[in-house]
Parts: sequence; structure tokens; C-alpha cells
Amino acid sequence: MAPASATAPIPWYRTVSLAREIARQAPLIARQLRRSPRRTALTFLGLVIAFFLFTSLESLLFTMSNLVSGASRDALLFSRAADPDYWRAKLPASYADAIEELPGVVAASPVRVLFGSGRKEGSFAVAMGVRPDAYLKLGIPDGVTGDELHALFTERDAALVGARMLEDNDWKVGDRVTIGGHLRQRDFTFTIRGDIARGDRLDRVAVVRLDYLEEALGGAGHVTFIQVRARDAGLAPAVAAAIDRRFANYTIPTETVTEKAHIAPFIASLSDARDGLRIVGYLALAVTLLVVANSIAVGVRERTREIGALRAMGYGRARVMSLVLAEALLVAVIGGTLGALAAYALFSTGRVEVPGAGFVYRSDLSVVLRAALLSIPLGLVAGAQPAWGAVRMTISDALRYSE
Amino acid sequence: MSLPLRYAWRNAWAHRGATAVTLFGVAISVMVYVVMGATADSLKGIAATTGDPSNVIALSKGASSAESSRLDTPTVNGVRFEPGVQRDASGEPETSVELLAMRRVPIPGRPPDDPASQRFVSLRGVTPAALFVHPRVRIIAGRFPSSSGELLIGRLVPETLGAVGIGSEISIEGRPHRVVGVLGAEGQFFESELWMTLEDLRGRSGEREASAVVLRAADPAAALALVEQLERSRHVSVSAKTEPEYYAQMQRAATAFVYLANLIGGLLGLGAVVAGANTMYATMSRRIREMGTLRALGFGRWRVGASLLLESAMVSLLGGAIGVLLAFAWNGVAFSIVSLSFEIAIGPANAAHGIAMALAIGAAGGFLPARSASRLEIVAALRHV
Repeated sequence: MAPASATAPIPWYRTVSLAREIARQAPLIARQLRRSPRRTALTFLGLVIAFFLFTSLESLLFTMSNLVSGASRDALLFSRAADPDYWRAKLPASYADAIEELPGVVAASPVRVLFGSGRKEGSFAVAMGVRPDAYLKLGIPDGVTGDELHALFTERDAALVGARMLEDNDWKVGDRVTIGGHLRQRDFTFTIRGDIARGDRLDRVAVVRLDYLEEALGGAGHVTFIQVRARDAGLAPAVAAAIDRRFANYTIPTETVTEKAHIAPFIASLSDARDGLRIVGYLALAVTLLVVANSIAVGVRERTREIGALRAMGYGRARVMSLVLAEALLVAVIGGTLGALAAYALFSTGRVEVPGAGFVYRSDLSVVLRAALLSIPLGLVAGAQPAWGAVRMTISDALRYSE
Repeated sequence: MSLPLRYAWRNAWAHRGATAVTLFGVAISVMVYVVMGATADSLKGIAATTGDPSNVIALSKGASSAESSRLDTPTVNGVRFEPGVQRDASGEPETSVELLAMRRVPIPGRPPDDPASQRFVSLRGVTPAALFVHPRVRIIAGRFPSSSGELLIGRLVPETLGAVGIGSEISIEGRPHRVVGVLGAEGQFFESELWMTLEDLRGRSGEREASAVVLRAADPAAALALVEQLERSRHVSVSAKTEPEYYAQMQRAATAFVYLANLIGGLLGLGAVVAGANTMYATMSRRIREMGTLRALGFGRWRVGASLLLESAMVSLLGGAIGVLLAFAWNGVAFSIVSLSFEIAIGPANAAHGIAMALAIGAAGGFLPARSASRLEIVAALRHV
């Protein structure tokens, strides 16, 4: 049987023994890493930067795909008039009651959207008129308190306004403000009674009462769309089909889409950008792999004579190789995890926005976990060549070695 | 007495493994930085080149984009016959009434109901007058649509909708449309749009009559005067802007790219600095005795340090040059974001930024090792084991 090649992939049971080796040789590895603190620090820094970048890009991709598959949101549907100009508030609000009676529907809320202009000339502002009781069954926006909800129920002109809309217009809770109407549409004035947290999908709109909006603009009884919550995500497509069948023979038939289907083409249109970001992330890791490999190789070369001495004392080739691999692995896993966690700490706050892209960064521990797990093969591959280099020489050559 | 360039080069060559790592790191960082920067510039470029300074675009009051604007027939006619609009030989005002809409369009040949195989595309309903008002738009193949169900597609539409050309069928809101022509527009936004007759799109858009009227003035100064006049007009209520001013709003989309280019380029660059510093420290620790000898031979402190800095800069510069060359592989590659397609154009400025970044990486990575080398004491260095 041919002897196992030193660079052959490491079987899983060897990985376990490698973990045991790390634990046993930890003091030796720690001393080795302290021997050249500058080199160790630079290698760590390189790893932290690369994994920070990798996790940032993966978080961005996570944010983008999460726009499509926000877990709880799959069960949400939009039912609108089957007309390209559906946003012209022409769907009878009474459809909502009929929809609520369909099997699999938890709640249906009529929504009338007002597109107008904000405080600054030419700025865009959106108000959504809803029936508070029906709308809140779909979910309560982030950051809205009980008192604020109470205000929406009891004060006719109350509004809950998204944090970013407040910022864009320099408005604050308590202000009485106006959205300018487009063309022949009237202006609409309301009082801000609460704010919706940044990061919520309503953080750029004002939620007002439908009855008040109808009173101000006229055209009662017709809405832009009806938002529906199905009992679970799996039922959503069937519920959508059932709604459209229900109104198929009406003067105004409906077109119902899941929120996911609504956004999917938009996200698919970003596929070039997504591919680009993914490639960049992996390129960063490829460069880091070489940096770690180089740094470990330098360390191994520096202590060639010492390794010769260890082997003369009875350390086998496998053991010496495990020592070097363990060192690379330890550096990669610690540095990689630190970098990934740093990115997570920054982006999971929901406060970092991608300028111009209109969305806030999100991250998830699964992204960190994936990055941290990637540091394991990275460490092993980076350590493979130096490990082989450490045992390639005969003991006598190693003991005589001089740079 | 200065150490020759060849000395630095030979040293880099002697440790080619480590040098290759730095080279690779710098090349990748520079390539990514140059490509992303060029993407952002190209995106800005479309915004800057689209539109003619002699054209004025009139939208409904308060509308921020043509897609959200709606004009009724009296307003359209009022605007068209506004004094100051240039007239053609027959005395007709040179104007283009246009309807704009953004629609989900299924990629031909893919399942039409699957949202993942639909793309957002800008549709523009036009009359043949559009070709006079947008002088840089040329029909490069086929003809202008003459009836409902015909399409003139922008040169870059295949980037979004796959292999489509003259004769292809594209379904718009469930109705098949046949491609009868392809337009080129010298890099303007129109190259990623689908054009159809105004009546055809009106039929698809419910009650919307028009979203914009593009008016041609005699020259850019007359266009500015026309904007002023329309904004103040008592007969018609519209918002007017010159075309370049209107399309400049699109630069916002480029902001995200500039931000990402800087963030990613910066972090990769920092990584390359660390890789470079690590390599130079390793080089220095191997050569301590050699440096001691050089000092004993009469080379000054700073010359010994400078040789390390030079070596670092040289390797980085080479890496940067490789990175720029690699980046050029992306030149002319088409890229699409939502409804907009464009070709990435890598210009001399992008290449120069890449080289500057490489030099900065080399200087930053070599500085600390060079400083340490210049502080070596001769005797200690010669005794170093």
C-alpha cells in the first residue's frame, strides 16, 4: 500500500484527533504564537479584516434575500384591482369583508394609499389609510407603543409616521403636518401621534385612519389594495387563487400576489450585483488564505532546527504536522470568528444604511456561523503546505539548518 | 551611495513565495477597487449623458419622476403650444408626448408566472416625434413600431431579458408584443427601455393619458427660459426641468455603488497592507545580518530602510499593474440593476486610482518594517543568529 500523501484531504476521524492534539499542545502553540507577536498580530488583523468584509457582504446578501423571504411575511398577500393602474384606489373596500370569510384567511384590511409630496419641494410622501382594527390584525409595526395605538383608535386625525419619513421632512411626534396633493388631489393634513421604528417596512410612510383620509379626499368606499394575512405561508398561494376566483366575474376583478411574488422580480433584477458581491467576498478569503499560509510558513521556517530537535526526541511526523496544522487552525478560527462577530455587532443593530439603496443592513447569527465555519477549512488549507514543509527534511538536515 | 533598484528586486525574487502572496493580495484589491469604481462612474455617466440641454421635460406638478407623473390632454396641449418651443418646417411644435411605466415582464422562454423569471423593465410609449426630440437616439436595426403590439427595444435590453432581438416575442401584461427594431442612444438611459406606440401603452395603462412632454428649445439658454416660463405659467400647471437636470436625479443609484466600492476597496486594501507588512517583516528578520553588513560597508541607516520601502513599493506597483490589467477584462461587460442596463467602461482615471491605491498599499505596508530596519545597530545585527 502506498504511504498516505501528506497533502491528502484529512479524514474526519483525523480531524477529531487534531482537535485532541490542539487541546494537548495548546501551551506549546500559544508559546509559538507569542514568539513573534508582531507577525501573529498582523496575521490576526488580516483575518479579522477579511472575515469582517466577508460577513459584511454576506449580511448585505442576507438583507437582500430577506426582503423576499421575511419569514413571517410570506403569509401576507396583496389583493389589488387587476388593472395596471391599480394604485388609483378603485378596489371596493367591501371586498375585504368577503375575503375575510374565505377559508385560510386570518385578516383582510383595506388600504388606501395617498401619493403626495412632503415638506421639501419635489419630495415624495406616502400616507396609508387603514381601518385600525383590521390592519393591526396583520401585525403591529415595530416601535409603536400602546398609547400610540390608542391615539390611532380614538383620534380621527392621528397618524403613526415612519422614522425615516420623520427625518426626511424634519417632523416630530406631536406636529400637525400636511402632505401636498398631486395634480387635482387635495392636500391632506394630520397629526403625528406616534413613530414607527427604523427598519420596519413602514418606516417611510404615514399610517392614518381610512375614514379620515376618505373624508379629506372624497371617494369613500374605494381603496388601493387589500392586504391579507393567510393562516400560514404554505397556504398563501392557494388563498391568492381563491380570492381572485371569488371576484373573477365582478366588474373589478382582483389580482392577488404574495408579498414574496411582489418583490421577487425586483430582487431577481439585482442578480448581477449579488453575484459580484459574492465573488468579492470569496476573493477576500482567498487572499487571506495565502496571508495565513505565508505567515505560518515563515514561523515554521524560523524554527526548523527546533522541529528537528522535537523529532529527534521522538515526535513523529504526524504529530509535528498536527502541531503546525493546529496552529494555523487556531489562528484562522479565532481571527475569522472575531471578524465575523465584529461585522455582526455592527450590522445587527439595524442602524447602518446602504446609502442610495434605500434599505438598512441586517445580519443574522447564521451568517456569522457560516463565516466562522469557513475559517476551519481555511486554516487547514493554509496550514497544509507549511506542515508538509516542517517534516519534509530529514532530522539531521533540520538540525543543521541555517537561513 | 544608494542601493540599486536591482538589489530590491533580487531580494523580492529570492523570497518569491512571500512576494507572490503580496502581489496577489494587491492585485485582487486593486482589481476589485477599479472595477467597482468604474461601475459607479459608468452609472453616473448614464445620468450625466442622458438628456439634451436644449430639451425641457414637463411633468405633473409635484411629480418627482415621469413614472409617477400624469398629465391630462388639456395640459399636454397647453404645454405643447407654449411660446419658446421650437417649431419644425411645417410650423408644428417639436415636442414628444410620452407615457412611462415600469412593468414586470417575463423573460421570453421562461415560465411567465414564476416571479423569479420576471424583470422590471421601463416601457416608453412614444410617437415618431420622439426621434426628432431625442436626436442621439438612432434605430440601429429594423424600424419604428407603427401599430399596437410592436416594440422597439434598447440595445442593452438583452442584458435584462435574455436573448431577444428582431422577431422575438415579449409578453407585456399577458399580451404578446413583437420586436420590430433596436435602438442605440450613445450610452443614454433609453438603451435599456422598451419603446412602443403611445396608443398601445395608453391602452395598457387605464386612464393615464401621458406622463411627460419633452419640448425642444432652440438652444440650452432658451431651454432654461422655457423652464422658468412653464413653472410660472398660469395656463398650465406642470413642473419643468431641463432634461440633464431631470436625469441627474438618477445619480442617487450610483451612491450605493460609490459607497460599496470605497468600503470594499478600502477593506481589501487594508488587508493587502497587512499582508505586505507581514511579508516585509519576514524579509527583514531573514536579512538582519545582511543589513548589518551593508551598514558596516557604509550604507546609511535610511538607505537600508529605504531599500525595504522600495522593495515593498515595487512589489505593490507590480501587483497594482496586474490588478489594473485584470480589471480591464471587465471593460465593456454589460451590467444590469433593476430596469437599468449599462456597459462598464474602465477609463484612464479608474486605472490611475488603482495604481495610486497600489502605491499607497506598498508605502503603508513597507513603512514600519523599513523604520525597524533603519534602527538596527550594526554590532547587534552582525551578531544576530
